[in-house]
Amino acid sequence: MSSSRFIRYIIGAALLGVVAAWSVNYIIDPFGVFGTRFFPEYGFPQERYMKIEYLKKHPDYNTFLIGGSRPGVIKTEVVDRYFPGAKTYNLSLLDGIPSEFEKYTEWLVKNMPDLSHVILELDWPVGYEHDPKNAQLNELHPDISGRSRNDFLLDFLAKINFRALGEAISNNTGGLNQMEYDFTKGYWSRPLRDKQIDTNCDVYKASEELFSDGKKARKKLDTALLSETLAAIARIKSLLDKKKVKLTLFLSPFNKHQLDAIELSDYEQFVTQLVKITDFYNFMYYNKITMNDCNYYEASHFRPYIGDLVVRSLAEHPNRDSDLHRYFSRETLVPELEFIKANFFSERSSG
Amino acid sequence: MVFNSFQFFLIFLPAVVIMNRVLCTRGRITARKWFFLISSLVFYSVSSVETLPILLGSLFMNWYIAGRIQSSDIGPLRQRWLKLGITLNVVLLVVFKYSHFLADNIGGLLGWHPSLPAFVLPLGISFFTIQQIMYLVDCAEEMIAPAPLLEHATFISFFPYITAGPIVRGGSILPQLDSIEQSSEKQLATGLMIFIIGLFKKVALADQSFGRFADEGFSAAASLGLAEGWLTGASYTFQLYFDFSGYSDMALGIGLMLGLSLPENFNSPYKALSIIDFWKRWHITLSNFITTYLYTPMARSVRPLTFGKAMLVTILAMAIAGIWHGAAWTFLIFGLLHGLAIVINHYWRKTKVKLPWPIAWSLTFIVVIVGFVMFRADGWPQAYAVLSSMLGTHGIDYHGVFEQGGLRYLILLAGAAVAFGAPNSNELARNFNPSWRWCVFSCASLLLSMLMLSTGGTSGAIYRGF
Repeated sequence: MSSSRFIRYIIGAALLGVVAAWSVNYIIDPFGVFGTRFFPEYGFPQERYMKIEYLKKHPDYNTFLIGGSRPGVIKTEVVDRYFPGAKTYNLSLLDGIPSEFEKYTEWLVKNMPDLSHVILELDWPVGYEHDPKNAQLNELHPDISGRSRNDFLLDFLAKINFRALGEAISNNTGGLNQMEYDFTKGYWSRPLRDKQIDTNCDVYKASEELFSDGKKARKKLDTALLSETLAAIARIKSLLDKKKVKLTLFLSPFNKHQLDAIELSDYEQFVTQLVKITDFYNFMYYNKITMNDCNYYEASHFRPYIGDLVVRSLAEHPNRDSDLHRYFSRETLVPELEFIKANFFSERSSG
Repeated sequence: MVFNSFQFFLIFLPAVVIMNRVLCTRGRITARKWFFLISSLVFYSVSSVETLPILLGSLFMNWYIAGRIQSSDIGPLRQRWLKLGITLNVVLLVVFKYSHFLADNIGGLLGWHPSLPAFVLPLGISFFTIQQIMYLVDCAEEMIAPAPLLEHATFISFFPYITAGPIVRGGSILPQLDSIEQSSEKQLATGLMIFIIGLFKKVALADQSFGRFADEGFSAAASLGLAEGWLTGASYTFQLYFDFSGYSDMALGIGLMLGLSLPENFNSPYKALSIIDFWKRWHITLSNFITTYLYTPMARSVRPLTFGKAMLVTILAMAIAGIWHGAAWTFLIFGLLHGLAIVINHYWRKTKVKLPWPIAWSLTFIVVIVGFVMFRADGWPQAYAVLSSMLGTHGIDYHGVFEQGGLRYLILLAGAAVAFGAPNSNELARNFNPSWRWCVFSCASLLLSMLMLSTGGTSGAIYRGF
């Protein structure tokens, strides 16, 4: 074989590799960033990008739901129903962290002229770390990160993500993880899982390994992470106050397995400092919702109808009693903390 | 920009190779040097534009001093310029690389805590500094004539080796820059093949296989069982070899594609049967620097040189080589350990007793693994944790530290077999003749590396951090 032919074949192989990778990514579009839609379902939709792209074309929303993936199931129609005059978009972000909530809030303030209400969901701060496996999903929209749009898209063209491709194939062939996304509203659901849980919850729970023993995973709160979280919330609150935008803050209804992983002393520290920034609604304790695994897809994500209950609680407080949430303010902090201590003590000792 | 990135090997490298061939075909020697210099500065700036002024300052300073050395008569004045040049280079290195380490440790002992600015480590500073020290010494000893500024700057900043070696001498590179002979198609094909082998070693073996085991092991250093401790140490030993030798192969391959021959840096080091033999095979260009520019002058200064003094000088030279890698006690211990092992090796040689090769090889490889545990650890506690687990202090049972997967272990075994048994890249290059077999092997390695880069991302060479 001649040297020139050898060189030509190597160059050909390199080009073939590039074309193959780009074609697969462009056609399957597992993150939904190219908008090709050759297949109806995405793998892992890049919410950070797609939601902003949608909002840029539809800047007429006035209410936004911001948070991690947990409130991603909250239906905006429900928010609109319970909050008169609201036109809501669900801007929840998979793996979302408070510094991102801050950046997205800044973007909303600049770009959404009718902005009047932000409903912000918070998780337990231990979980606020990006999983390196989700690096592509966690890329911020170029308008927010300041990165060039071409550079951003090139990343999705050149990098092959087998997990995302596999998920895309599974979602398009009726796999269990099938997620239905509505980017005109911003929320998602898992109808196949809902059906399975409703058919026989005990069988579902037995098959879902993520309902694990939280006590074994109990992890001390990282004080640096706590400070970062609180600082970001304080800046969000300050920004919204300045723009006269209402902020409603709530702590997610954590499943009992995840509640079991929380140190009570850390919990006290967190809520005591958070209430200094703003009042908030607390769904994060043992109650009939959080104690029932059938209300969850797995230990992390509650099902859509729980989202409906959360919205209703937020809207009807204090006119309607709810055993789903507690309202924390500087005035109610002491009795509410007593309640939480008793709640944790009683449930953990009985469990 | 790193060699193992799409932007480098799909855009930058082809553009440079094509342009070089155009300039060579037209006989434009000076334009070619300017082109090499500009591409090298672009390459450097993409990774570290903020430290480009340090590189440029160092280039000008050494070019000027080399000129002063040449214009001074042989004798004290020349020696003074040489000493000044070496001192300024060492000061530059110490300021940017060791000032915080010295302030924290020596300052701490003296109760002095200066507030130093947060220096950014200039990319490749360890390499371009010692390269220029060698250059000044060679000029002072009239082994080479000082080069004009363009040649000097091109030689020092040349992108194939500025960030991670091999460490080259002016005498071998400067004449090649003056030659307009373009690489033959055979050389181009050989360069391409060596580059692909290097890419595969770096991406598939170092980053995606051994690197993962090493990361998992070191991050769980306190809870490793006996076998896991050894697997951790050995994984990093292989990771470092495939990472560094892969990067060196890519540099050699790029050199060939551009019509330049760069020195070999590795010669199957894990086949070594003694630690002296190991250092003749591992990072050969650094070993040559240690021998010629550290050990020899120090040995000359302690005349009469006895065996005992020679051994002390060896330990000192290896300690300096150790700390050259980074500002940490673990690097110093790494150097001292190897220095001590070389001394023991020399004493053993005097006994004339020859060990059976399996024992000689095993002892050598164990010292290498222990040394590299020090090299990788982020501090003494982590090194101690891994080393003690290798002695079974955390139990001899398997603690389940590593992610499971039979294929992972199979790839490890294959990688180890390559390091121990396969011909190395230099041997392959010498005997290379394009054939279908080579073509299929190269295409498959390239596509697999690209796939792994695409899925696993790009990481810089370990030695770029030095």
